[in-house]
Amino acid sequence: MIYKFLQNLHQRSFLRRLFMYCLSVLSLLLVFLVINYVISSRELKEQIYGKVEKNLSFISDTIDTRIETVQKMALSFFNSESVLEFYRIEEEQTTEIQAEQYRVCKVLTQNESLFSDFVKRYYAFYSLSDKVYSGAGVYSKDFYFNELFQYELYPEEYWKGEFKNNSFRLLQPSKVYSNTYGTMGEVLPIVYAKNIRGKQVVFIADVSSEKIREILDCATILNGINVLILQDDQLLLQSSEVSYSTEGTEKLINSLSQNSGRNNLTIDNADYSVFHIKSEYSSLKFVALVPVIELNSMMYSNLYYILMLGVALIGSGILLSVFFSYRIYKPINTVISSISEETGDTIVDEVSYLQQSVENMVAENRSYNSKLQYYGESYVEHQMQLLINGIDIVKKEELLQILREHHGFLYDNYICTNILFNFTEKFYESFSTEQQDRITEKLSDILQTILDKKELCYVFQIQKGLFTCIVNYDGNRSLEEIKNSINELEVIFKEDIDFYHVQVGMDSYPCFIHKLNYSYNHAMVALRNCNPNNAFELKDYQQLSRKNKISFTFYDQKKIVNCITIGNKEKLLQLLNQLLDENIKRNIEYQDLKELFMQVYYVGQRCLEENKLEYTEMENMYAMIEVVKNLNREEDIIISKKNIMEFLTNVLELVNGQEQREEYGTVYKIKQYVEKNYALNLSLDSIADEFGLTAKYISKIYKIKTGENITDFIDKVRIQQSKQLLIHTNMKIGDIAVAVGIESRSTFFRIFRKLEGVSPNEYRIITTTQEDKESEDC
Amino acid sequence: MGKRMLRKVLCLILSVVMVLSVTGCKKSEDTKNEDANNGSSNQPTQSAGDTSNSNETSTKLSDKEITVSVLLSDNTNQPIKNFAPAQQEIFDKTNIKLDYQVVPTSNYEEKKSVLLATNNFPDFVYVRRNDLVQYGSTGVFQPLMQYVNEETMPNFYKFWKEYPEMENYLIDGELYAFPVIQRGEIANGFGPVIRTDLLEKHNIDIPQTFDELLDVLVQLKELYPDSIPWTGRKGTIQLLKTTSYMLGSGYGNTGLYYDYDVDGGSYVYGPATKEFKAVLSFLNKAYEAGVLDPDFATTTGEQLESKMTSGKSFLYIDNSGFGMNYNPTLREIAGDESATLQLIPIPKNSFGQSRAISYETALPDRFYALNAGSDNIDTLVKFIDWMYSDEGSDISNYGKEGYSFTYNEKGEPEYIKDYVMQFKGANPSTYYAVFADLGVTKLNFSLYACNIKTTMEIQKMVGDWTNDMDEYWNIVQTDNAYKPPHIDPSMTTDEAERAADILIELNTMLEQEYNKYIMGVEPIDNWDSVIERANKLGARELEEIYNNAQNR
Repeated sequence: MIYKFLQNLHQRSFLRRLFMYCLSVLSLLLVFLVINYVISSRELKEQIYGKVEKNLSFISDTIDTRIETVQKMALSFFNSESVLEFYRIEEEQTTEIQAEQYRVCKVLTQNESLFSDFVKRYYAFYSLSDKVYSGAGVYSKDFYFNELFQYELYPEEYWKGEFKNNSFRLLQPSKVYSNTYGTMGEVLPIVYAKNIRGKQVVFIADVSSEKIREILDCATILNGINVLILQDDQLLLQSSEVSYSTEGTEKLINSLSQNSGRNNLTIDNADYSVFHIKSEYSSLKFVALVPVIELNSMMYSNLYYILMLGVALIGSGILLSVFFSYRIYKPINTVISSISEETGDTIVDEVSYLQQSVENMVAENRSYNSKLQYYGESYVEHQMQLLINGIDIVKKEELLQILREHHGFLYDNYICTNILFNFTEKFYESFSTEQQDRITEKLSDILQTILDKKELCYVFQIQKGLFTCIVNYDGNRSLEEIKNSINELEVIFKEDIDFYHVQVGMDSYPCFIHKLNYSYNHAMVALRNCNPNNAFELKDYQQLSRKNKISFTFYDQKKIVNCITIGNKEKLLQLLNQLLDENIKRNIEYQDLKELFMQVYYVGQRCLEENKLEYTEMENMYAMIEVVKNLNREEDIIISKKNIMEFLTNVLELVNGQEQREEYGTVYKIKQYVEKNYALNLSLDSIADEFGLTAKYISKIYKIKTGENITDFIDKVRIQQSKQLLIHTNMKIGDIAVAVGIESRSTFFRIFRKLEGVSPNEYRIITTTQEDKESEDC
Repeated sequence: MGKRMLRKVLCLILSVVMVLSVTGCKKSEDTKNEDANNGSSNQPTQSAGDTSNSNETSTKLSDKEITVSVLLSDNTNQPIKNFAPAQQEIFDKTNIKLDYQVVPTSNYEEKKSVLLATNNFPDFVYVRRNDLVQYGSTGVFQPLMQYVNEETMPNFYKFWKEYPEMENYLIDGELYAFPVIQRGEIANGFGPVIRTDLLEKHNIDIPQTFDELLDVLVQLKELYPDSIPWTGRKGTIQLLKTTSYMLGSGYGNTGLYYDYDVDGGSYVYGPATKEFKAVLSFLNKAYEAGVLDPDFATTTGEQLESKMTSGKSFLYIDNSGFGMNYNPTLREIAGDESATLQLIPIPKNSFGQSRAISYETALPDRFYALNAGSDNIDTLVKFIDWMYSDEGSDISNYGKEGYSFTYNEKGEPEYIKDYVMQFKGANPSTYYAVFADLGVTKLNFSLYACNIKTTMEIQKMVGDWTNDMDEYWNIVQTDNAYKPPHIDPSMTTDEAERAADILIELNTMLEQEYNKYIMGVEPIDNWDSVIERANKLGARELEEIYNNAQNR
């Protein structure tokens, strides 16, 4: 997977770019690290040296302070009254003096608490005496130095000798053992010898070596630093266990200048930076030896750690970069590959390809959207047209969905409102035909826009100047509101009263989508009742007189008549049922129903008259009519309906009693119809419709009656006519075909040939030559 | 799946890398910044109670780990170490970690007074009776009476009821420290310990009176001219403390003592009485006869031991138990198994009395005061009560169950022999070594503490128990001369201050006089002038203060 991935790397410019950006950020890190190292290295050495020097002076101060305190303690002992007065060597002690010896011990106890950490113990004695005085009491030297505190380096004899007078010295550290207290660690005795009354008194304080080393350790900020204390050019104490050769030590000591300073030395084949400081108070020198190796190794470790850090950070940075780049790139890659698969392009540069593709897609989308919109609109309009014409459409759901989604229609009921722009003379005069067309085209948009503000509706043009507005009706609202909305059109359109008058016819009964034609018809009816001379008039169906409210069109009449004529009883009953129920359901007033029933009666009566028949049961008929006239109850409606249907059925039977004549009548009518309308687009269905009969029925009776098919007859008629045209005109064959009602030239050819045996052309030729011949003869 | 794995692996790598780099950085930082705290040259000595908390839920006394600091005086015989097994066991049982701040005995008083004065001391501090008087009213110690009841401190309350004398510890009705109560203590005390083997050897009878004793010493001096028959430790004051009462007067600790034989029992300032002359007189006689150590004014403990065990001296009058300790060394050095230092019954003094004050059985003058500024006071109080309980006492005297002690059939703790035997032959003694190793008994931080009891147990266990020890304790317990020490009454702060002031003046003046009279520089009769001076300085007033407080 990765291999394939890498192969296409040169194409994946997006990924490359992304990755490069991430890396560029990392480069900042790199810069930072480098700077850090450079600065820190430089500083490091100086810092170390600075610290060592500082610490050394600290050490010097601290130890000086301690030693100073010991000195002062010794001095206070030497100078105390009790000591001066009472402290005598044994030989000089009288009883009185003896009695006061305890005071010397007391002087020694006074400052005991100050020294617990640094000074382990202190005591005093006359050099040449056998007694050691301490805070606890008086001991013999023998007991004190052999039993109590045995110095490894300083046996009893050492303390019995004399020291340099008025001297204050630190002795070499020595371990101390005690028979009573066990091993006691290492101490550094500080000895102060002074004369009291001509005899030397020695005051000794044992200082803990460990504590001194602790203080010295302050300077050991690096491993391997050794701090030394020198007294009079002799090594006293050092912090670490390193030992130097005698030459080395000599070299070191000689190199030390008077006060303080720093220099570099090589001692015992090792390089050192040597710092030293002279104590201000005592004759001590403090020396710190910093091995250069340690310093260098510190620098290296500094470098090392910065490198490690750098590697770690940059490494992790790169990893993260790879990771994130990949993550960000992945979806984009998917997109690009899917696009390129579709279009089959080869990708040179991803980024620009992507840009391009997206732009294309956007443009396509836009054009598609506009096309969709356009087709959508056309579709809707077309479907609406069918619906208002009473033609059931197949895909009602689709239409409804589009209405819902695109026009925002929410409800199931619709009301038709027909708006007619009656253009005046002035309009026709003022505008050219093109302008007129443009204006009328725009009008539906204008109407839609205006009405959209108030109602959910769909406006389209039926024909020039006539628009229908299908209002989506919310069952909770009153019709008045809709009426008001539409009335507001008056305000807008009354400006142009010179150019047009507006009439609006509105249905009052909301219907479902499949009954839109009813609504449309009502609206048309209402519209027809408007006065064309009014600048703006709105009539709604309900307002109309009763006569116009019932739904009994001429069309319906014709259908009934045809049924009667043909004798199709079932169809007749079905029709009547439908018609009557329709009207009854609509809760029209009884008066209107009466009107309806009467009209239906008249239809039946007219049939009878036309066929010169008499209704036998006239009394029944009058009775029925009475019922109708007194119609005011539900039962009356049902009775009347039954009566009407019975009546018409009888009429039908009567009419069709004259079978021969009826049939003949029907067939004759068909023949007449064909002969009249041959030029039109005739089909069995259209003929059948004309008579309110089925295509099957008429073809059957025609065949029975005449023995030939209607279609054949139609053809015959057409061909006869065409023959005339062929003979008497110079029309082209195709035009002749159209003239006789046969659209297709090839069909005309075929039929002509079938019936005449020759092609139309030939026929023409034949006939014309004959004529020529005849004319020649004359 | 693959994606998730990739993510996990990446995260792991990243985190490892980061950790490495961080530690890398830290290391280099460390070597750069090893700048020790140079500023504080002197280690800060004591800091007020440290409390470190870690969240541990347990049914222990304390819910979370608490560190409790204690200021203790060290002891050369039984050095105190930090977090010995007993303290470990205490921590396991109670979640309380004891942190000892140990100060050598010689420094203790000074250190303690500095710390208390600056209110900068640990949670608990070992104090004496006079510290309560001195510091009680300053508010540095937590007032404790509020806790002395059945609900809060059931264990201590038991003792409070058992020893009504403890009420004497109250200052203005308030208790300022928890008293240490001794467990199973048989009291010995100051007594004369002499080389009975030498008496036997030379057919000398055990002296019944002090005069006889003096004669015996003279005899011994004649027999052993190089000897210093009678020596002591800690100089003149100790000598007076140990011998005054026996000799008919008394010194107590400060000069003021309770005399059972005066008016049925009252406080007397010994040195300012005529009877004190008897003391001085006796000492003077001994000095002049050459039997009392000429260096008596500057003797030390080590030298006492050295002289007694080397056979240079034959008598000392001090803590009679020392003799038992000296015997093994004595026998070794003398090369003589029969060499024995033994207590003798208290001789009669010049007034015909045989009298001595023993050590306290139940109530030694040892207290632990609680720092009023400590955290978790309630937990600490609970802890102290636990220390008074059998469980706490067992641990703080016997160590760790299963390690250094077990419970016998009677439910009493007993040392484990194997453990104790490790320390046989230790210096200065097995029992001190055991106690030091375990961190137990009275000299350590124990509230219901054993002393003699545990010492004897170990001595017997290790085979250090000898017949003379039986004899010794027999003598101690049968000698009727011993009376228990009288607990000083509680006083008001004013009284206590006044008494302290008088005492300082008296003792400063008197200190300078004793040696002169003992050594004969001044004749004994001149002591009257000293008494007069003492009276002027308020010796009688001092007695009155105490006696009034006593009679309340």
